[in-house]
Amino acid sequence: MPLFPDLRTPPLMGVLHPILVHFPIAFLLLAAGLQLAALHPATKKFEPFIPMLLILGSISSLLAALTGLLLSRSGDYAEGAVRLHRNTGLALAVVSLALWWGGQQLPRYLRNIGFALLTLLVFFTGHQGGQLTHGPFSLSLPADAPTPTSVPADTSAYGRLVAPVLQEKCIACHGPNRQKGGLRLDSPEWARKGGKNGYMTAESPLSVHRMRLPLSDDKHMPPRQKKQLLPTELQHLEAWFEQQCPLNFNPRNTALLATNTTPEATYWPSATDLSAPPTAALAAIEQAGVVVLPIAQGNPMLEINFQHLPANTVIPWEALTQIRAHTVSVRLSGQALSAAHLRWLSGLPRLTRLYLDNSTVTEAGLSCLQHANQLKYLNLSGTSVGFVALSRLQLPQLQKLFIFQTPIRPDQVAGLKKHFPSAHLDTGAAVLPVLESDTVMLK
Amino acid sequence: MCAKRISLFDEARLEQARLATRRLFLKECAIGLGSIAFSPLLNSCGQSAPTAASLFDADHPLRPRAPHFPAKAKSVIYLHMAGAPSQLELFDYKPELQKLDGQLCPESLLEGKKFAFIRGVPRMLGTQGVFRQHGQSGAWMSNYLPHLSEVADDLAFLKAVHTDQFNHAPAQLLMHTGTARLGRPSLGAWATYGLGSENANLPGFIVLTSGGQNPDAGKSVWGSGFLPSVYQGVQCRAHGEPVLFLDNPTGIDQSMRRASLDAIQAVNQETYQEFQDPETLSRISQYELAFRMQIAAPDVMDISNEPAYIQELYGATPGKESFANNALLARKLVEKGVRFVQLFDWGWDVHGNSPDTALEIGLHNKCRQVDRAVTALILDLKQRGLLDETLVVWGSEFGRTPMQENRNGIAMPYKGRDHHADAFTIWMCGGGAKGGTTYGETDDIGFYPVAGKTSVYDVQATILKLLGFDHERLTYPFQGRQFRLTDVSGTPVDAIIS
Repeated sequence: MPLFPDLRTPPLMGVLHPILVHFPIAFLLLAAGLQLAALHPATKKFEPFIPMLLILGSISSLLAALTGLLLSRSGDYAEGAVRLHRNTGLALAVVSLALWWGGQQLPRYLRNIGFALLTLLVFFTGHQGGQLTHGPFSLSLPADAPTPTSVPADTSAYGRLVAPVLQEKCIACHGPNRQKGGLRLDSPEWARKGGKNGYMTAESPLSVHRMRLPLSDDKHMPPRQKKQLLPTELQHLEAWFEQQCPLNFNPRNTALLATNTTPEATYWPSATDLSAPPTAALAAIEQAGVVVLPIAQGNPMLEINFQHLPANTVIPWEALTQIRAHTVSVRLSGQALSAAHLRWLSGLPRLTRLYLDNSTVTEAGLSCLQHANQLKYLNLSGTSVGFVALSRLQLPQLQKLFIFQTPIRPDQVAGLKKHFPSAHLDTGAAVLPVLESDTVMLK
Repeated sequence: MCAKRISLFDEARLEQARLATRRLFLKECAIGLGSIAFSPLLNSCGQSAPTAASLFDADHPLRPRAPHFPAKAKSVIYLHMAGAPSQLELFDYKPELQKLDGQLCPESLLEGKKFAFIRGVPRMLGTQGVFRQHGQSGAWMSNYLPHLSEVADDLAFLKAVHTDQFNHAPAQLLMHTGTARLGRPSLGAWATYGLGSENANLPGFIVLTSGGQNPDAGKSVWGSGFLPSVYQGVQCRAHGEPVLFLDNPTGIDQSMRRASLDAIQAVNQETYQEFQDPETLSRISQYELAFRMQIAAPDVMDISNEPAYIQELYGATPGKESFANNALLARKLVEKGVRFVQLFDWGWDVHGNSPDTALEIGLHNKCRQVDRAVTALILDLKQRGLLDETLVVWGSEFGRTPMQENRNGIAMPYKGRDHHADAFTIWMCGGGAKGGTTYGETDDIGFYPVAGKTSVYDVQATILKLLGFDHERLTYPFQGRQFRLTDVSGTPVDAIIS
């Protein structure tokens, strides 16, 4: 069996780097700490240990630098990302060596500056190295994670199903900073290039093969000590790789297809060319007390609910105008409508559901729906809208129309049905016959 | 020489300094530094997943949120017939069982079975209902529910639901919280946690009871378990006014009320800053909700302001405790944006040991109490355009045996059936449920499922799916892991989703 069965495995010495780096960190920080302690008479007695720590620190940092160079040659890392870490690491070795060499001959203030520099270099180099190994991270607490309400811009199948998984579980080792095995997955283009071992063929991409290996296999991806893929995630990644990493792909997961795409694709208007709604506008609308929500997490289409607004609320029309293209559902139940409401309603290209029940919408006001070509649900129950106004509207997509408690007479309903042939009309006024069983109890 | 008097402020400072003892200092150091040192360790064991593990937002616990995918149902009205009505009298038509009426149950059926009350060898009992097919879908329903059978085409039946509990309290807990033991959040609490509430003036989860008693499992069936307690169901009174003390005391106006609340909230905030107990936040938000309810609730909660023909439709009599009143109230609440309304009606435990629990008397009477009201609820929601986005679920904690109960091995004075966990019927209506469908089938005597077997978890997963959730992703971190309603089971029943 060859010593290095796979070229992608870095040389043995290189593997030692992540272990060795901890020695200089410990030695040199301790040396700097003792230097600081020497300022106080009670702890000055530790001063003689400093040169020993310095020489240990500089030897180990030289060793770390050497193994680090070997590791970086393995090709797993981006050249630019490594350069800074390498340079500061070498500087660290030099400074510690100089401090040991110069020893007591140097004036005290110069030595103090040297130790300060040393400490800074240790932290900086360590942080850089950590980022290379564990992926970019910030020093803030996880509480600052992005708010769940933010809407990701990319609504392609890749953006929804693949990119978040790659970001969470793959990019740390196969991303811009580090490319283990030469594989980079932070964009479909990179993914299509594949890793060192040549491109994955369409029939059996190497990445898919690695992900399918049993967890006990050393080549299994993600490595067994790392966070593993969930079954659905694996399914999406497999489908994506096998279809050669397109932006829009068929996830082939029937359960997910059924819930995630098909019914909405038929019910809600197409939103492929729709970008995420402007967050400033969303914040302004929410601030005013109007409920604005995406129809699903990460979906750019919005539902707007005015129903629970207190009277005299100042409605943020300007912000609402900015999300006209995104608005698919508007609930104005029980609201007093103004001209501004109607103006806004008249310019909603994707309006699919509109609740005007018990609102003050008038015969004339209804003309705001002249161009509501996507409207499928219209609730007018409890309003003063009559037959004439309704029959002036086209509403080619209308599926459900509610006209309970309106001035529309029973003899006009047939006419309306003819006018909206595809719609189900509900005139309400449901009654139940009185049966003996409603009142008589058995004994 | 007299001691120097110190000022009030100095005295306060002195007191504060006394409180900051060395012990306190050390304790704080130990916890503070210890937890900082420990947190990366926890991180590495996967204990704290920073990726949106909990949706709980302490400042706005009921803030509306979007579900995982576009929802078919915005609200749920869950009608629970506590005690377990007999599916064999109402929905699950078994002509074969009719032929076996009065015969001794074959031993093979009893082997290894455990019943709550049946002892020895019971006799088979044919259905007491007169079954007929209804609507275009041809759903079998009996004369026990004459009104409901008129809307058969709107109902989606699950006819082979099974549970693993044959006693009321644990079975109710399992049905509503996903475990037969205490301590987990209920379905309504999960829904409110996941979706928040679009109407800030009313609770997101309201519970109404009728039939004279709470369900056997008590209030835990609408509890919040380990979720923050703002998500628990708010129970309204069954008699008289649904919510008490909505009026200010005499002589107190709204602004005085506000001022006193502000003072209380300031103290609560301080307490929260000191102890960081999230329950303090729940308390704060409940006070605020109560204040807002003073304006919104009296109108919504009062069914007597509904027109007479609507009251007649439901058979409601304002002021009296009844299921019909609750059904009407449920519609009003959903109309005002309440997320989850749960109705419990007690008295369906038809053992046959008294007239009230007899299939031929008591069950008829219970059906008469709900038949008209449930049908009216469906029709009323429909004519208002609400059924489109309101899921109505009708069910119980388990079903009844095809054998007649012989409590303690003795023949009973009335016809009754024992608890049966292996097969029972639940139906759903509106809110994305596919009307006119039947999923699941039991054997010739209604004893075991033979096709489309559905677990309690599947029912829960289906309801969550209609609300827009992937039930596997609606989770809350507790005791070191992510918990979910269906725990490790559950598959949505797509066959009854439109």
